[in-house]
Amino acid sequence: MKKNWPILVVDDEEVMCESMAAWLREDGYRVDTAPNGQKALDLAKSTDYVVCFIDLKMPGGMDGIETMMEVRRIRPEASVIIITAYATVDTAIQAMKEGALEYIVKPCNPQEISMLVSRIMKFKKLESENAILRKRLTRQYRHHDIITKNPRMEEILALTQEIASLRSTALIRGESGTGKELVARAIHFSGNRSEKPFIVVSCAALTETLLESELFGYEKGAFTGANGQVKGKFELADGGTIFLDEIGDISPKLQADLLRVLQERRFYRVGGNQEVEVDVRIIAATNRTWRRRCGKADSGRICFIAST
Amino acid sequence: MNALYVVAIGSVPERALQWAEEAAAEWLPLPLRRLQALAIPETAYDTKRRQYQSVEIMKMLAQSAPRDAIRVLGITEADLAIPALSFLFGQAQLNGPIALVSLCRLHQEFYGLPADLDLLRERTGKEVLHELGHTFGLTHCSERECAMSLATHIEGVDAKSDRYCARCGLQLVERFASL
Repeated sequence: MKKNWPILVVDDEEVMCESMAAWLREDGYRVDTAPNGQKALDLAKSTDYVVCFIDLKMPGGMDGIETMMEVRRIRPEASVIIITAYATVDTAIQAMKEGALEYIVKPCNPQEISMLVSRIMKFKKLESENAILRKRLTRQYRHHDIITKNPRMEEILALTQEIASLRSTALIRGESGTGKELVARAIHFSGNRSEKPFIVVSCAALTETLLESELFGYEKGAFTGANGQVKGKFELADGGTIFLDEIGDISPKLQADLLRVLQERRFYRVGGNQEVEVDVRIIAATNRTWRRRCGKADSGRICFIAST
Repeated sequence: MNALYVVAIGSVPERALQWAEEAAAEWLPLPLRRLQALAIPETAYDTKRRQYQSVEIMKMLAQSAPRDAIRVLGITEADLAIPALSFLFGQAQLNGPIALVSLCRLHQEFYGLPADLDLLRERTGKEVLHELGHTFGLTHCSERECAMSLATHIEGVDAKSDRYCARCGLQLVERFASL
């Protein structure tokens, strides 16, 4: 078990903080203490605490529940255990509602605390292992989903790795059924956006107006039936990748709108007047012959055109 | 050479102090000395809980440590606790000079059973090794039989042996080499 995972003890009573810290340190954990909520937040900003023991009643400033909420805002993954000497059902319910993992009344049996911390650490270890395994699976994605012995195709796979972590827009061109979406997925899942969304939009399947609201979302009242604000695919893909399949089929007007998003990563929702900014990598694909559209020669096989 | 001092906190039978010294002498190559018994500080008593706050006793031990003390081991009959926990068999400063062992919950009588001196001796030795191990940087060990395994109830104390496992023993040797 990773005993170097840090624990924070927050209590206005120094003796409570220090004795609890000393007891946990005997178990091999790295333990910090804070006498109040503000100090706890300062510490949480610089240290990724796995477990926080927070006293419910702290005079002046933030109480235990407020401290917990702020700590969880900074460190959403931290497991918070509220400790109190004056337990009531109301405070227990409030603590659990606000996100406390456990609510314990001091003094507690050493076995209870020991098992609680051990259980949390085991869970965190499993979470961490899960993340590692997911990453490994992601890395295997390209190998398992695209099987090829073709040297040209292997070149393309090598190129996907080269451009995987770039922010540049990529265009994948090839005939229908040649695996353009698989290549796009390989780029996304091999890069530094792999933990974020990969959103697919089939441009050919939608009319211009539908595609516009699908991509950019819409505000309430933007058109008949727009009963509320809806986020578009660009917003849903924030931090990740949007794959625009059959981009060659979109109208010149939408192309102009897309160009602005490509250049500035900003757009307006349909019917909206507030600009939305996103961090999205765009991968587009087409089965059209680029030669006819751009007047340039091409190889006639799948290729990438990365625009800046 | 700097010594390991053993000191009674409050009234402690001589035999218990000897058991503690024997256990320490078997594992730690340090000169052993005895300090005059110290009274339990009044500030340590928690009237609500009818227990003694170990932190107060640890503070007193730190203040009473002779200059040539490399470690000070306090032995007490007082029932120890800290604010968050209902009781402690003992406490120590990790990588620090002070260790404290309570005999209170090591007695069979505490659990309503007839006195058993052999068992008390065994338990005392285990807890002495455990708390002194902490002062030399050892943390809780996952080997159930190692003296450094965490015992949160008396059955846990009885389940472990009065010796360090190979890994903890090796760490201890390394710590002594670096002293």
